Amino acid sequence: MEYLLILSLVIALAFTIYYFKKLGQLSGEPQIYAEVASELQQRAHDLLVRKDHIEAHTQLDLAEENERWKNDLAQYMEDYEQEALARRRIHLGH
Amino acid sequence: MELSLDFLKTVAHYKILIYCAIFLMVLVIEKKVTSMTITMIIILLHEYFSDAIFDELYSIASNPEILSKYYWYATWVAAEFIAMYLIYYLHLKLKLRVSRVAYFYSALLLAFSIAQVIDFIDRATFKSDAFATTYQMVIFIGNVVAPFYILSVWLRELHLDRITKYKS
Repeated sequence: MEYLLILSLVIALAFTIYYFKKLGQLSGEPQIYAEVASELQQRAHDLLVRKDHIEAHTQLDLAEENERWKNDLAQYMEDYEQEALARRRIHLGH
Repeated sequence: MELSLDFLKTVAHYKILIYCAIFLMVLVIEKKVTSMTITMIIILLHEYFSDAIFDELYSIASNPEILSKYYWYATWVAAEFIAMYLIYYLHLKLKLRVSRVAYFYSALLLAFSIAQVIDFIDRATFKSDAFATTYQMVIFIGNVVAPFYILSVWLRELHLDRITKYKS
């Protein structure tokens, strides 16, 4: 008799723990955000490398390349801002 | 150390008042459905249910039979499970990210459930009452600390939100 009662309470406790774990999954950062952050970082790195490259070859005429670099930088900043806004909406519910 | 019943009930009443005050502040400041409003609604439901049922359960649990003790523990464990499930379900359905307050309160519910199950196992098998005081203190300290901790975490999140807001 006692053991049946204990068993029922332990089962209820197991369900509570189960939903607590699922709740923990909802509070964590999803995988996709980590991937997007990693990609943005890679793009920033590439932009810096290209800028270095342009500055190292001043004797060549690289005005066109420089212009392209500026456009890419603007695009990158736009993407970065969009990503930050999306994250803020999800994390803070706005 | 034994805590008197009257003292515990006074603490419980003040706790509910503080939760009501926090809930009103959340409604006024957040103005929409967020993880915090959902959590506060469930906290208030849970606390009011506990308060309403306390006296009746206590008189049942005063009997020495194991079944009446079981009613006491099983009701709390069931109520905590339902509160936990509702927090999970509503966050899932409303597609809200679980805030730190919601996670903290469900951790508190889980801790209470564990304390209750351990105490019931002790009462049903060993009858040593070794865990009774610990059980009482865990619930008491949790109940006293929780409202203030929830308030402070919420205010910190609000502040973080304000300083990261875009000026547009």
